[in-house]
Amino acid sequence: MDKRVALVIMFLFLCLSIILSISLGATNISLNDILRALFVEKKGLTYHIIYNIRVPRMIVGFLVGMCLSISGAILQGVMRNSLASPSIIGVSSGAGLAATICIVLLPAYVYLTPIAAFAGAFVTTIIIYLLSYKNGIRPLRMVLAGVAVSSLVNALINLILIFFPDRVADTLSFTIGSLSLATWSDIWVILPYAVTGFTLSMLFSKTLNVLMLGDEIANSLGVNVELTRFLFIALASLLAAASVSIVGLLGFVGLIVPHIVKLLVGSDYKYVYIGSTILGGGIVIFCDTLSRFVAAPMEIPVGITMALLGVPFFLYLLRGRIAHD
Amino acid sequence: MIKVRDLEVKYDKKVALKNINIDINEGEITTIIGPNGCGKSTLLKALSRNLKYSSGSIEIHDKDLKKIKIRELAKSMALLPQAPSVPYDISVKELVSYGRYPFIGFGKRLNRKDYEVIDWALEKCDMKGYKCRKVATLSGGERQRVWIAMALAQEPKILLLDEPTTYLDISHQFEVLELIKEINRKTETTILMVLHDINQAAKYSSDIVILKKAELIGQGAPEKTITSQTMEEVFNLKGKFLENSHYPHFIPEMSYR
Repeated sequence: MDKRVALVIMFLFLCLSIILSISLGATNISLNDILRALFVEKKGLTYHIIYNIRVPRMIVGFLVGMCLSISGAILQGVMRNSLASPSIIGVSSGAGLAATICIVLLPAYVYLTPIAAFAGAFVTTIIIYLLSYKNGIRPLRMVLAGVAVSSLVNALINLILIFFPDRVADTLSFTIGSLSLATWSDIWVILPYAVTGFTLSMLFSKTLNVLMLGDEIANSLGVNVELTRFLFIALASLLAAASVSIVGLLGFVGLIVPHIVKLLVGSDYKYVYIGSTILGGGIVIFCDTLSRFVAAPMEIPVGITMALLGVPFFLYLLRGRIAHD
Repeated sequence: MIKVRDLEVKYDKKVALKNINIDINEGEITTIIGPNGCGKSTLLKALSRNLKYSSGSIEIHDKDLKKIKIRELAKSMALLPQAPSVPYDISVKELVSYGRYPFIGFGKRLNRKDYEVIDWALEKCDMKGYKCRKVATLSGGERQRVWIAMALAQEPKILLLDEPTTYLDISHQFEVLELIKEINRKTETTILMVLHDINQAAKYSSDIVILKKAELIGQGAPEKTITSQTMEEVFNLKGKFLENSHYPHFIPEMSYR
């Protein structure tokens, strides 16, 4: 498939998801009422539901999906490893530990959870980077160090939870990831990261393309491999940290979406980033809509829906690719 | 052109190269030979700044290698490592265009001169007709020609090649070496490569560097360096040389270890 066609299809999927996410939910609103509420009436219950609940939720979902997908795409590139994702550089475990400490041990400071999660995620990445640094970074060494540190940190989380079994439920929505509390202020928190992250990654897409040819070739083409890799990892960590601090551990998007995008648009990072933005945002919005629609009025956390839908779709694409090879 | 003085390279504590003193002449083909693990690739990596050296110095055109900016170096030196990886969907033209990466200003696109150089490099390597093919679908020999074209697109004064004939069958080996010779002759690019095949090294190079166990055994013209004495001392091989050959051609008969 031509990459432009693939991008257009992804974009249509995004548009469809956006429309569905605004019209479906505990009360279903018709397209006519949506347009009227948004552009004409600007008051009343329908306007309130759309403007203060569904639209911010949809935008946060888009930004989070976009950030996590770009983060995963960058990491799979610089680590040259298909299993790389934000969780491999400690973002999920680090944010998880910090959030658990806040929610379980320091309930008085529970409002600090997003900031703590953000710091926990970024600090864990730096620790993993330093632990695997020896005459430079070997990607595989960092992946292994990441897996090891994450296991350790997850053990600490479980240790805390064992001592406070009554508060396990409070942490659950964070560990699974949910958009149900998204507000306009969350948008203003994550938007700068999304915009900066997208701009920087697009500006340096060629550098990542060159890095994909191997360290030696990249070096001989004038790329400072060591520094570049560190900056890319830091950027990926910040993008993912900002996302999980707001919606919880949705790290899974960052693993699957870049793969789907690469299967559809190829390996040129310029298109991978655009595709990740569109599809990452679209998938989170789509799954979140299903989450609150399927079992209404119960809401399934978006993380679960995403795994249930995303994995089979990914496996289907992967089999097609194998047949193609 | 390249001056190496008292070079020493260590991997952790293991010495990979020591007391290396060589001069690489401008516009010539120099080949490094030696048994497995003698430090051939290490020397190439140190010269291309892919590896830090612990002591000694390397000068390129009287400039200290450590003081040359990596992007500047990329405009005068190209490296083709062993078995580089190729993204599955990249086309010949795209791959060769990466050779222009060090020349493109930040945020800029390829300009007309870049495209001319890319076309010239493709033409030199006889790959013009393959522009739109995916590199992954090419044969080993064609793929190697594409990599060489990418290196040429850097318009290098020095081209480093690490075992450019590995994994190729005999006719493709010949083709690649002929191409390297032609590039050297027509563009006066200085070529420094690592080869396993002693006879190919003797045929195509004007200068041979012999390494064994991290140390320099000798440097000089093939007739002077590739002798029955070196074959015995360095490779533990007894044999004879083909008569009436323009260059030393060794035929092994017995190995003793």
